[in-house]
Amino acid sequence: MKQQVLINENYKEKYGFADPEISVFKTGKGLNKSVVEAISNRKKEPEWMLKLRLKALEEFNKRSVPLWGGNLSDINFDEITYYFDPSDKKTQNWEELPDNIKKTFDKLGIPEAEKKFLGGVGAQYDSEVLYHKLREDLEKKGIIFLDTDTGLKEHEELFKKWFGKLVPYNDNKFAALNTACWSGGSFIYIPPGVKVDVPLQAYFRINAKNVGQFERTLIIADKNSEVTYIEGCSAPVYSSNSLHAAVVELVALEGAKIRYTTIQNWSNDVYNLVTKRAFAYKNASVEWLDANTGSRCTMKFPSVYMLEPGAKADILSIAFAGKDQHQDAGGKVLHFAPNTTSRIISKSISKDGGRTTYRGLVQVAKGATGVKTSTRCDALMLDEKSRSDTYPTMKIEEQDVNVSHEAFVGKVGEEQLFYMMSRGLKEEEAMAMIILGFISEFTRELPMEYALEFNRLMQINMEGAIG
Amino acid sequence: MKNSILKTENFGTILITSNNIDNNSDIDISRDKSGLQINFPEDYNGKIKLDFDLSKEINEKTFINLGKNSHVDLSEERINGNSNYSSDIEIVLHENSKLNNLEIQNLNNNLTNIINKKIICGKGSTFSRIMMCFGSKTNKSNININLSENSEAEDIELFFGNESQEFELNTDLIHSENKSKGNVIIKGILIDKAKCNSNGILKIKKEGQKTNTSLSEHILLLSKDAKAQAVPALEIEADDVLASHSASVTQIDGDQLFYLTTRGITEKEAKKTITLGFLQSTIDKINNEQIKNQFVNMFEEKWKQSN
Repeated sequence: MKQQVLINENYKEKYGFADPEISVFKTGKGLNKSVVEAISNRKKEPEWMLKLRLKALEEFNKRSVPLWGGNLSDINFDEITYYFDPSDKKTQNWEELPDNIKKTFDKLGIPEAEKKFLGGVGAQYDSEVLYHKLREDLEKKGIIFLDTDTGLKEHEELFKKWFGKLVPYNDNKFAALNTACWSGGSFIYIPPGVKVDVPLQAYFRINAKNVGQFERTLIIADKNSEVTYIEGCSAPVYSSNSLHAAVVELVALEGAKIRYTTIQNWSNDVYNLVTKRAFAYKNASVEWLDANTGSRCTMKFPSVYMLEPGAKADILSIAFAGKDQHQDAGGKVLHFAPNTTSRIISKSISKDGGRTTYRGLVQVAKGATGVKTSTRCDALMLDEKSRSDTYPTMKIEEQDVNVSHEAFVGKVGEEQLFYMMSRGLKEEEAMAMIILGFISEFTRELPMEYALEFNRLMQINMEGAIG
Repeated sequence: MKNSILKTENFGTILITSNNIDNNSDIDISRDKSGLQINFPEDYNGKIKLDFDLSKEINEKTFINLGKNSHVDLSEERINGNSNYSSDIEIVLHENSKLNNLEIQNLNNNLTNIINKKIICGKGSTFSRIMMCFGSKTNKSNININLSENSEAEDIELFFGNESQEFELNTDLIHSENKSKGNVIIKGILIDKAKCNSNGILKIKKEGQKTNTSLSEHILLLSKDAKAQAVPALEIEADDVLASHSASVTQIDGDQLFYLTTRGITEKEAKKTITLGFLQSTIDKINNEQIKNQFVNMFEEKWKQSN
């Protein structure tokens, strides 16, 4: 039985359109000291930030491209524009954006979603966050939700305390790159005891060709606070490569709870190389919900460092790889304190020659007694051209622990398909339904509106002909 | 059993004892510059035991060839001796041949030993291996098994480390052609400051359709200073396959221990019973009583030393 399922078939119409490239300021191609200085100068930053950027640039030049994971040999670092500012105007009103940019965000449904169910929205276009707004009642509670550049200007002390503390500039080559030329992203602070019951959202759009987007996000949830953050992204379809190298740092102080959801839907020419890390203190909980459907090559392993007793980590990773795509994703949980618990669930689907890789780490340090951790990864392969890999690492230095890992790779069972088709479903409908069931552990964790949208995205993606 | 011929030959660093059960044409053993060659003719049926002389450092290659339809039990023992060694063994199984490979290593705890094994399984052949690794300070075992159409491999690796023993086990099982079957089970016990690093990988190549394969790595930590690292990896390029892996690092279950001690069993004895229980499902897979007993005896011996 042959089946054809299409992932992101109508990407070009829905997300892959391009606006004309208009910039008010951009750096030349390639990266060197003067580019970094130009970025810093334009942002009128404090001296320490420029120093840090330059140190990071040195580190970036010193390090070689990693040889493991995805094939990054096609990235031409000299062809990329590292900073591209599309508009002087940064606003709290959609109407004030340049027409084409407003249209783009309209088409992507961001303002509509904001009205319906979001507490705050940041919209980044190439290198700058052009729209940023937090609902007034939330602002009154003392919540800070700014683009990261403004965060540095208005809250330098808090910013400096955490920036680069979780992901130091020399953590890896792409964290160094991000530190050297970061621009945009979200800066969030939730005061003690404040629970934000509506999600805050950021949307990242790359429009220009061969441009690099290096947003930097820092979220600090103070004692016993709660926040849900959602990020989405997309880019036009070009035939040349773009680079997205973000760094995200989450700080969950005692008893705080952070849920960070990503729906990554870059076009198939974007290299997505992201470092995401969280620190969880006493009884704090961090959840990463990470869905990767787009990009040419993603390498992203959200991690949680459980630093004090009772901390919790939960990572749900979903990956789809279609033609010419490689999703090298997964998660890392590191237990440094007693009675910490974690769970990783990974679901991946590959088709049309796509490749999915689960890469994970479970580490239990000495003294971290009473740890419970489990990992489960399942992979579905929809044809004989595709590939699926699993590389889980377990490093256990403590006896009083409970660590388990399970994985399964297979194809959609013909019995399952036959059963559903005998109930009157067409083959592609049955297939889509089985796949939605396979990833339901992810979708049921999303806010209602998102779950519907995500399911629709998947279903559209699944429309196809029987060959 | 027909007229069996028992023969012992000494090859300097290695003592080879063979037992040709069907008295078919004989084994051909020779040594040249590249190493020791052992050839089993077609339809051969017999047993062979390799005793390594570990009174001096060995660094030799051994090539073993199993002719079509041959059936060989190969046992390798590294028990006596006081020298570090490194063994390189390459085994080719021709069509429909069958090899049962037993590997026992129980040297004293201050040696280094390295074993590199490459197994090439021809069409319809069956390879099964039981490795019992108890001794040496530093243990390194690399095994690479390549399966072709309709061939089968089962690999059981058992280890027990105490004091400051270290184990590094690298297991690659590659399904190069279709309808092959594989099963890798790795089980280890670590006590005192013992450490292990177990890297297993299952690879299914594009041509490896209708493959059924699994990998499991389970490690029991019996002391607070023991350390374990495990990476059970999969690389799959064919879609019509079943591939699974599982791994765990656990300690003795407090409830089980409590239950047994309330039944009047001493704590030490109870721990031993639970540890044997952890190993039992794997020991049950060994279908040779003698080997089973040998394992249990070695386990008991080491357990006594360890407490």
